[in-house]
Amino acid sequence: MRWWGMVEVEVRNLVKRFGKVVAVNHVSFKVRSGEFFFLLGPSGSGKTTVLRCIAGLEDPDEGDILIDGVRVNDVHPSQRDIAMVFQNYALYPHMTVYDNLAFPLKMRGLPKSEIEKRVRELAELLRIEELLDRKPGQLSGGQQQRVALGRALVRRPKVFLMDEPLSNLDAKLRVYMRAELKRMQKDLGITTIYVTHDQVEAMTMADRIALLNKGVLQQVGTPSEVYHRPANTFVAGFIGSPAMNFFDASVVEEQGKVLLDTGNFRLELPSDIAELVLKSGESEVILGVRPEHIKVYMEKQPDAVPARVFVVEPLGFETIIDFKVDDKVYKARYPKEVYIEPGTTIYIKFDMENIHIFRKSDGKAIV
Amino acid sequence: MRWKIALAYIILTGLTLFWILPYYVAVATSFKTLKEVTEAKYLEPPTTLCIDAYIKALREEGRGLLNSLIVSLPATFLSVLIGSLGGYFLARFRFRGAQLIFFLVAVATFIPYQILLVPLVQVMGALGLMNTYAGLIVTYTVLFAPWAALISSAFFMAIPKELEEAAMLDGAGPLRTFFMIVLPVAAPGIVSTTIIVFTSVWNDFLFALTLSMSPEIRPVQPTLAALKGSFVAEWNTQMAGAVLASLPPLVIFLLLGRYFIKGLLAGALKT
Repeated sequence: MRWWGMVEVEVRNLVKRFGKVVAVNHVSFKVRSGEFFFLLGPSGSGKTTVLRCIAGLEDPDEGDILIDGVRVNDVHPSQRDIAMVFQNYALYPHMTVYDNLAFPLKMRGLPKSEIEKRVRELAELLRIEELLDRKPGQLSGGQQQRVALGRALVRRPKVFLMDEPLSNLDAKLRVYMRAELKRMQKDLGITTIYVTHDQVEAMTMADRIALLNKGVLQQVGTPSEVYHRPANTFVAGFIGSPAMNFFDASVVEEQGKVLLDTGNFRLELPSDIAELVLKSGESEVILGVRPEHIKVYMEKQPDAVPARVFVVEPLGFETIIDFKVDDKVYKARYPKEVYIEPGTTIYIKFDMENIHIFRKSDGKAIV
Repeated sequence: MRWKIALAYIILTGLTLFWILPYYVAVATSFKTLKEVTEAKYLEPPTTLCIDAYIKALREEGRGLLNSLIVSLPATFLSVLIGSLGGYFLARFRFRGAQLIFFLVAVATFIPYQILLVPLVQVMGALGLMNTYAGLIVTYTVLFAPWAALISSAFFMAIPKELEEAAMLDGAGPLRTFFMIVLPVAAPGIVSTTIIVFTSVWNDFLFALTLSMSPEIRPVQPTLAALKGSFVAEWNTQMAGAVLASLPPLVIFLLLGRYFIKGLLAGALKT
């Protein structure tokens, strides 16, 4: 069931201010046709504002919104042919599910028979046929969510916007709906922009992710790119759970080797990484290591850094070990279930092929 | 807990009796003969169901009742229509000076409306609307539209903004959004506003008296006042007139009352 043609969305140099607060600061990106594109960031990052500007619910202070290459800044939301699923679904409480689904079609003046046909067709797709006579108040959260999706899809819009659509569902349903939504988006092939603060949602569902922080675009890339090659410390810290560990370090050259000195331990850099670090000319850097790239040993090892166990978080199939070096707590992933008494000394080694090095001055990635 | 509920019911029953008493006296008196009325046993029920008083009251007051309907219905409709559009605007559109406008509307409704009597009469005179239905309708609309705006704005504020945004994205323009989404969702509030405005217009005496010079135009309240008789105080006729005059608001309340209660409670409880 592919209804949609090719539709690209472009945001150019978007600026939106609320009073003195700059909610969106010169953000630009391009969403490809049929793409499942995510706007990811913490609360207050401006991601919802960007989405609302695309929808036309907010007027940009600067910059352009282009749909299919056409500037739509001055086009009323009702004329943009965009559909949106709201966080709280925004179903019309006085209408039945059928009327909710039919509303956008009525507004477009479709004949009754066509409306009926499309509503039934979509109800079947979303498995809500038996709910058509009910009012939104009589539905469960998951059902309301489906109706909200349906109302957005029914008129086959050019672009589909979703503002945290899963955040009001319970954890189990959310995981189920993630796969469901991803599947539906691919089946329909509709250009979709999805706002979330949940990096797991973004990583599991997105074709590409745009990360925002304090109104500024940090990085645009595939889930793999933002995970493996974060552009800066913000992206590195935001993507991945548990978050990446950061160590302040100085670059030291000794006997032809390049070392990172954190004050507590020294690491010798592999030659390719060493070259990049030297080329950057930075002397003070931030070392970033993901918990899954830290190996934990119970016995002393050559070149391993001793650390004290702070607490362990067993997850059944693996264990998160929180350890202390220099009074700061870091996390490591241990691939088995293990229990270690807090205070025990362990030995850690970094997977040097997977370390990240950032400039201390602005957090930008060097490696 | 039990005794608290019982106590509440006892107090409520007492209050209900207290409030219903005048109406009971009016109804009881209206069915009495003039002779029975003069015996001054107000609380006793009538010995016979005499409808002479109603026949007489209807003969003298019928035109007034009709006039009141002719004036109240359009005045209520216009007040609620204009008022709810204004109330929606006050509730939704935050612009520079919105607070001030809200404040001014509130002040306008809180001013004792007797103050407006002289200027309004002069304006109506200048417009040639004295002693016309139109004059009364316009006057009541002017008086009660701000009320309606103020009351309805509270209900509009309780409607999530996303509903309107969703309607907009679904292709509805501002007016369609208002009439197809906002107004139905705010229905309990609109009904409450309608009841309050209709009752106020219906019960008004001052403007009804001042702006109508002839019985052909005069609404029911001044007509009712004229019912008391020149030589004998015909209490039964007066009471029959009063009961008749109270029926339309009562009917409206009974028809729409459940919305009224809903409206009063809107926003009080988390749904």
